Amino acid sequence: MPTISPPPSHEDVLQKIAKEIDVTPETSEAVIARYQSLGSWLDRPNSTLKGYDPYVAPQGSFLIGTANRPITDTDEIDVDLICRLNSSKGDQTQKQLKMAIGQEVMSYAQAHSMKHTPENKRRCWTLKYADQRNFHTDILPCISDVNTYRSRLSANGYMKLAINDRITQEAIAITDKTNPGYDVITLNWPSSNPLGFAVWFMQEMEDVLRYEKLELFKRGSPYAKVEDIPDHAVKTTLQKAIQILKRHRDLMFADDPEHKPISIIITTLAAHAYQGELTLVDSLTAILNGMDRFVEVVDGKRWIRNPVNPEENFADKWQEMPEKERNFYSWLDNARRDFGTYIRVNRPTDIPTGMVNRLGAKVMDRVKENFPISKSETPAVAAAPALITQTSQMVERVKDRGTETAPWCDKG
Amino acid sequence: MSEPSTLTIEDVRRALGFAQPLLKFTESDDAIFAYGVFIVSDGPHPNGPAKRFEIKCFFFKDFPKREPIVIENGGVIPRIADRHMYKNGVCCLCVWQEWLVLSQDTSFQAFCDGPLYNFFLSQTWFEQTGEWPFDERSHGAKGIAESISQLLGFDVNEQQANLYSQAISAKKVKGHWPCPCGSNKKLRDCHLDEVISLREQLGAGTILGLQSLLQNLMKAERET
Repeated sequence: MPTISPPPSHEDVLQKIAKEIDVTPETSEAVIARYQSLGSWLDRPNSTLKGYDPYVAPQGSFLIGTANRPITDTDEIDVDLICRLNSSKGDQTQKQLKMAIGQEVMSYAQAHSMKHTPENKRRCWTLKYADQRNFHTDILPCISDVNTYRSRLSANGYMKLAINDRITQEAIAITDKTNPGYDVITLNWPSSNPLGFAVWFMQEMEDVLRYEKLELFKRGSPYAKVEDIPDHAVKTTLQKAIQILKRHRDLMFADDPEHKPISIIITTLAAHAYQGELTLVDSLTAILNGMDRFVEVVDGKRWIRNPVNPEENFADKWQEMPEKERNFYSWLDNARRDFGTYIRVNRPTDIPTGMVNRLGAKVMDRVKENFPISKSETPAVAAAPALITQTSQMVERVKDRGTETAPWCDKG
Repeated sequence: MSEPSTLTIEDVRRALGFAQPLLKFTESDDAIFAYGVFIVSDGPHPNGPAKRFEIKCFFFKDFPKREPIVIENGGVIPRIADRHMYKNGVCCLCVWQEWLVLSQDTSFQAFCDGPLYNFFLSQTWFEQTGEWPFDERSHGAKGIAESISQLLGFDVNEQQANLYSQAISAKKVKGHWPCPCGSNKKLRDCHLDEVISLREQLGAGTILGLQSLLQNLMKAERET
C-alpha cells in the first residue's frame, strides 16, 4: 500500500516558500569567494594599500541573512561590500581615499579581465561581473570612525547606544562626491555604520538565533560546540519572514521599482515588531500586525529611525516624494490582506491569487512540487463535530486571555 | 495631522487588516467604515474559519467615546433580541460602558480582539450549541444591573444598582442617604465603609455612564 503523507500545514507551505526564495548555497559560496578574492588582491604584497591593512566585508542583506534569490535567472545579484582602510580622517581627503581604493579595484578588474570598468559612483565603486552569475558589487570605501560616532551619540543623549561597544566599534567614516568637504582635509566626513546595523539586527533576535543553533546542533552538525556554529549557518523566522516580505514587495512594484519601499525600512520595522516567534505563521502575524507602530511622527513628519543612528530617518525621502509613503502603506495593506487571507481564511493548500502573483508563479510551482496545492476558491466547509471542536478551542483561548465580553440588548 | 486621540484609518487597518483580510475600509469625516466578510478565526486552521458573517461597521473617530455600530447584513443571525440583534441588523456587542470600565485596555485593537470578535464567536457557538460561551446580559435595565454587579463584585437588582452607582458617582457621600443594600437603614449605619472603598476602587466618575444608562432604561421600562 502506498503511504499517504499527512497534508501540509500553513507553516510547512510558508517554510517551503522561504526556502525557495532564499539565495542558493552556491550563490552564497560564490559571494564569499568573490569578496575574499577582492580582499586578498587589495592586501597582496605589491598592493598600494598594503600598508593600510585593507579589510573587505559584506554589509546589507548578505551580512544579515536576508538576501533573496534573483527573481529570474537573468536578474542581477547585488552584493554590498565595505572596504575599510586603517587610516584617519586627518591623513587624507575623502577623494584621496576613494581614488586610492579605486585604483586597486581597477587593477583587480584588469587582472581578472573583467569586461566592465569599475564605475565611480557617489559613495562607492561598482564592479560588475559578467559571467553566469550576474553579480553587481558596490564597494564602499571607508575608515574606522569610532570616537566621533560615540561622542555624537552621547552628545545627542543616546547613552545606551553610545556604550554598546559591539555596535559603536563598527562605525565608519565614508566618502561622498557631493559632500562639500570631499576634496579638502577635514575631520567632517559623512558617517555611517552598516556593520553596526547588522549587530543590532542580530541582537534583536539573539534568543532565537541561539535556539536555532541548538536545534541544528541536536540534529547533528559539523561543529564541535554550539558556540562554534556561525550565525550564517542557521536562519531564524525573522530573517525568513523579511525575505518573504521583500519578495512580495519586489513583485508588487515590478513596474515601479524606483519608488518601492526600501529594504532597510522593511527590515528595521520587522525586527522591531518581531518578538521571538518561532514559526513563520506567528512571525508574519506579529510583523504585519505591528510593524507600522514603529513609524514615528515627529513635527508632522514620518520618522523611521536608524536603530544605530537615531538622528537618521530612513523615511527622509517620504516628505519630498509622497508616493514613497503611499507605496509603503499600500504595500503593507496588500501584504496584510495576502498573508492574512492565507493564514486566517484559507486552507493550507489554497494559496490566494494575490500571494501567488506577488511571490512569483515560478516559486509557487516549485512549492507545489512538494505539496499538492489546489487552486479552488471555494470556502472550506468542515464537518459539524470538527467545527464544534474548532469553535470551542477559540472560546477557550478567549477565556485564557481573560477578554470575555457578553452580548446585551437595551430592550426586550 | 490627526490629533493623537483620534481614531485613524491606519489604526483600523493595523487592528483588522491582517486579522480580517476580507474587510475593506473607507473613511468619512467622522468615521471609518468597514465592510465585507468577518471571519471567525484566530489563526491558521486546516479547514479555514469556523464561520463567516457579512458585516458593515462604523468606527467613529472619537473612539472610544462613541460606541461603534456593527451591522450583520447577511441575514445569518435572526434579528431578535434573544440573539442580541435589532430588527435593522445592528448587533448589541456588549454593555459599552461596562466594557469601558472593566477592560484593562480600551484601545481600538482591544475592542476588535474583545467585544467585536467575541460577539461573532458567541453567535457561532450559540448556533452550534444553543449556549452563550461568555454568558449574556439580560435585556434592558436588568442587564445593566448585571454589569454593575460585575463591577461591584456582588449581585444587586436594578434598584440597588441605581442606589449604589448614585452613591459611588456622587461628588460627596452623605451618611443620611438610604443604604443601597435595601436594609432601610441609613448609609452611615450600614454599608458606608463598603461604599467608600468601592468609590476608591472604581474611581468616582467611572460608573456615571452606566448609572445614567440604567436610569434612562428604568424610566423607559416604567413608562411602557
